[in-house]
Amino acid sequence: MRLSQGGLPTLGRRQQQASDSGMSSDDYLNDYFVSRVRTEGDLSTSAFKPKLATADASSSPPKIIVRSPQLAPSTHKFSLLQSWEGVVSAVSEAEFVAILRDLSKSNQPEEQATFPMDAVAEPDHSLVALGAVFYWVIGYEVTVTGTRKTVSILRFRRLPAWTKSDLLTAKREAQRLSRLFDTQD
Amino acid sequence: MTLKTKRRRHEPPETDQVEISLFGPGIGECVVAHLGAGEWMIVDSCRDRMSRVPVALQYLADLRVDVPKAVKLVVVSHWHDDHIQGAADVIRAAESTSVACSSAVRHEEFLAMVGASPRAMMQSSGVSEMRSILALIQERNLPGTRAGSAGPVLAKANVNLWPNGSARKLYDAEVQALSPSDGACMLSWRAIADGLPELGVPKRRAVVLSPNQVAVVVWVSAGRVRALLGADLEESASPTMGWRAILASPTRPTDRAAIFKVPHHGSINADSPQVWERMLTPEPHALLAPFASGGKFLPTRSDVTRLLSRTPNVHCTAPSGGFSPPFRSSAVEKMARQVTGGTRKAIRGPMGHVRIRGRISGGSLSVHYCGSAFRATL
Repeated sequence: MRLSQGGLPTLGRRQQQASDSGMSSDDYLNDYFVSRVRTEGDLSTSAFKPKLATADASSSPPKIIVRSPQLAPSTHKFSLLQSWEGVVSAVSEAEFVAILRDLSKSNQPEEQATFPMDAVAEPDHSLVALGAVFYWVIGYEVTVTGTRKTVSILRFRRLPAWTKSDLLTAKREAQRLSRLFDTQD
Repeated sequence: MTLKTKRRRHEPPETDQVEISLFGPGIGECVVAHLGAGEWMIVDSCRDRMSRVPVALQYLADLRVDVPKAVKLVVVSHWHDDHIQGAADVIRAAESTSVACSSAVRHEEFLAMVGASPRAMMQSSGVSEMRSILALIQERNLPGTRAGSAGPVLAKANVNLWPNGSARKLYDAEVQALSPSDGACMLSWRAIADGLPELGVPKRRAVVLSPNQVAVVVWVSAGRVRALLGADLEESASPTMGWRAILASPTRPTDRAAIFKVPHHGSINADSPQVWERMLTPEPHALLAPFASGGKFLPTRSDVTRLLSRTPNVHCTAPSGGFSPPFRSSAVEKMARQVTGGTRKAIRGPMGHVRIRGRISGGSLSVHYCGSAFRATL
């Protein structure tokens, strides 16, 4: 069986492990989904329910054939509703203010909003500074079970640092512009 | 039957009329001035929210003004986003115009910041607009062109911006810069130098600390009409900077203006009671455009109260405090409200326009409001 899409990224390795331990692919997949259901209570699509029910009801390991189309969906699917690009215009310890530009519809007016620092993922906190750029997206997150919820994600842009080459180019550009004033007193 | 609606056009001013028009959509401002005899000046620029066209070009087209020939002077008071958006487009369209910029732009620190802007990997900012302006002027300085004849004119205190040596045919009119002072330029260069890109430091959008102190304040004199256009110049504790430096200048105009573009959106840090006493007529017409930044909106209620204590004639281009944001889907609105605590506001609304016209020979001034503009009251 070939698994061509996401959702079970480590399957190949696991399949190999299963094969090494003498399990068939089907045994392995069954084991995989049953363990997922035990750890993730909400993983119960209608397609799997009857089979999993059988799996739970039976004392001996059931034989379940899982076809690839049913394996294809990723665990999470994101459906974008709205996105903005923001530029931080003021920062305090607990919150920051930003000017927002609509990326979904370009002719919308710019907006201003205040965000609590909690809205930013912990690793991005150090990036929150005056002039920093971030993307704010709101959309539906759909799990493999079909559960849909509205989510908001704020991601700060990690820009590269200034390099020697950047600074040299900037200097040349500045010199070129300065010629404009050469002959003025 | 088809119902045809015709948009009401503005009527152009008469040859012997002076006009000062202030535009402001909630954030951003632009002054369009008729200096008489079909000659125009534009100070700063902002874009129409819907068409994205610089409002000055839109208005002059509406008046059927021949922009390439009739616009004689464009002043870029400073490079803050709310004063400069679309200025390069204005200069491109006004083919025969002189361009005046704050003399602070000449310094190598400023040019280094401008030079770095394309590599900052950021959305456009006032600094990158300034870069477009300087590049455009450079293109116009063709080989053999007399240096400085295409600009920019480096505006600083007591520099005459217009007419540039050419004689006026009908009556006297002139435009003079009252700022920035040399002291303000020196401090500005230091501040810019502190914010310049450094090796290994992550890139950010260029944010310049307080270019307001190097903003170009403009004095307009046309026939018997006087106007003081305050840009964003703030008051300073130092006698060599801000409004104090203008008041202390022995060469500043001694006349009094009846039209005052209130500096820095009416904020307290730009307020100078001495300016009202010594440079303005009693009860002048005060023109005001609002502003939003860093979670604050200008003018505040107390700013408006203070202005009304100085003159009953306060005219605003738009209400302060922002506008309702455009409605997205219910799911987006609900989530956005949850994240921002309902603080989201649109900072640009419909374009507001306050227009003041008066005869060169003097007499009363007439005020006209368009769009979201209104007369302020307590």
